[in-house]
Amino acid sequence: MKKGIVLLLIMMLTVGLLAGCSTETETVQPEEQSGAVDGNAEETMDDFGNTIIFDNPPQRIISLAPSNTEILFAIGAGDKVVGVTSYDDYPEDVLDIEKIGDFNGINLERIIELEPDLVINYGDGVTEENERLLEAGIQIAGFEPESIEEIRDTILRIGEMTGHKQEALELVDEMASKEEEILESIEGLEKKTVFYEIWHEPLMAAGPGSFIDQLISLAGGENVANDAEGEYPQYDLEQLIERNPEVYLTANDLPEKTVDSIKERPGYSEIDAIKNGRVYLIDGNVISRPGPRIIQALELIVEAIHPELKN
Amino acid sequence: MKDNIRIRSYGFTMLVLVVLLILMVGITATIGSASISTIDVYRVVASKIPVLGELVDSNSITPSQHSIIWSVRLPRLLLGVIVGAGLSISGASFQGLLKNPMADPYILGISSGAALGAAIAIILKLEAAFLGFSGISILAFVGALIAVTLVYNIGRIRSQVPVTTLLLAGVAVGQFLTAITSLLMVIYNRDMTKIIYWTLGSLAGKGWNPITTMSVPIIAAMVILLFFSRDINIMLTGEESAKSLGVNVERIKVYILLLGTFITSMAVSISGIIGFVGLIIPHIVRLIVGPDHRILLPASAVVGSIFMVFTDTIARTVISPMEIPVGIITAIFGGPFFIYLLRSKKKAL
Repeated sequence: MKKGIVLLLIMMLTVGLLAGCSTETETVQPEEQSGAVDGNAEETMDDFGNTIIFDNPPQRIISLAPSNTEILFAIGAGDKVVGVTSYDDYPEDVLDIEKIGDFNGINLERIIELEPDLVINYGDGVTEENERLLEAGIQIAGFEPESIEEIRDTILRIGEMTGHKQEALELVDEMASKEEEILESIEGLEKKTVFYEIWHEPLMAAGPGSFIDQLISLAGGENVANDAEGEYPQYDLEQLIERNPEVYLTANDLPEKTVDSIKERPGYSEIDAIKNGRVYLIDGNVISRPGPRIIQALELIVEAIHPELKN
Repeated sequence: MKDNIRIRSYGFTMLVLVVLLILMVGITATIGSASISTIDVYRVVASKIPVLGELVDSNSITPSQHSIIWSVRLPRLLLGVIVGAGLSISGASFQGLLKNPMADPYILGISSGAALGAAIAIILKLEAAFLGFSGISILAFVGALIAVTLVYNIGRIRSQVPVTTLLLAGVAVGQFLTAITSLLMVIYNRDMTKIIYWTLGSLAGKGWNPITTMSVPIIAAMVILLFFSRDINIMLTGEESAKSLGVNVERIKVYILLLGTFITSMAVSISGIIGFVGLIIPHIVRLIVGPDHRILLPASAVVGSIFMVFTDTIARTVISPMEIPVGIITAIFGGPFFIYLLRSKKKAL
């Protein structure tokens, strides 16, 4: 019983901490119902088989994850957002929007009271809560992108269902060209071995399949933990020292985690990244959210792996 | 005369156990996910010993291998020795004190109290050390002490502390403190991750610091506890007869509870909560050496060390390069054994 709660908390936390890098790749087969809806109704599928249909674009939207909120604002639907979580902090306008939940849960009553047309979950949400929302006539969409491609796809679909298709297309194009530009700039540069620390006590790595792993390899790095099992494995310190990464990355998610505190950890002194001062704290809100700023995250990792580019 | 022979055989038992522990540490020191040869492991260790170090040729060892052995693996092994010994000896003395085979530091509310103290330290960001103890250790001890004081006073009826009321009070206080810890985690959810990982327990990546600061107080408290082993024996024959033999039962109960609490909270403040060790090791040892606490307590400490080092070695190597939280391994070994113990006890009745 107690173990169950702890496990549940950890699951919630992992989702919260990483805000979006998850394991399973669920490919949802879109049901064939093209032409089934008449008139000018817009029909979109989310990642979990829900079909979202609006005759008119939704005017009141609640976003239950910072990454989705960022997408809504980036495609110009920000003025329709009436509720967000307490973790939302970007863009700044979001701070004035009512907080209706955090990772302890959402305030279902308040959400229904706000009379939204659409609630956007991260992941597929809690079944019972979804049922209550549907009963109240609120449509739900859930997204769980795990790679840059899936983030683009999410943006397009959120654009579609909110009536901001054009802006979404422009945003995706802009992201793609920015990504291309970044990738061109590092072409031909030597690959560096990289370790990304998710958590320090116990040590946890960004493993294969995580989108941080994808960002690292795009940025011209080789993730030393890419043979581990699972996206966020607890990692053996002996292996970290033996594999001797040239670059050490982590998010600035704890005030007490500094470059100096990392250098002082037992056994770290012989790691190349530490010896050569190649430890970088990356903005946790940028790197952990599978939203439009993912390209910015890529840029931050590129800067850390290839500091020579700055000159 | 008879007692002398017994003491001598106890000495022999302890000698065997200590040799086993040394062998265990010696063997597990060479096992790890990093590929370092057995001989190089001993070269690194020898190079740290004065005089002997100058005779050893350690040129073939890379600095990172040196770092793996000296800064990561050895302190982790020694931490296992200390934590395993501490949890087991406290468990053994609590079981004797309460005459209850189910008693362990967790049932008495000690771990809940220590966890609450540690959670408060984490939330208040008490990272600073005082006399070598970290803020987390100090508050863990304070929390555990408050829990034990509460449990002891609630469970006490006049000057006596009957076992049933003590255990009931332990469960009640433990649940209450756990609820407060959970409440704090909900309110200060930014620290939730840290608190949860702390409660899961791990010996990984702590380095030498906790060993240099904690081993002296923990070992000192264990040695003092050993002096009470004869009193526990006498108390086990019945509190009335103990009193007639001149044992100040209530005062000794307090001393033992204090010492056990101190040892447990120090161990827990380094490693987080690792279950089953304090519960099952004393039982295993009792099966082997019998119920005399003069041998039961020290033997539990050594066997606890062996068990902890063994399970932690599994935790850090079996799915390399990943790790399994050591509490899972101790429970996997401990759970079935405990069920076996319950079943065989049932048959004996």
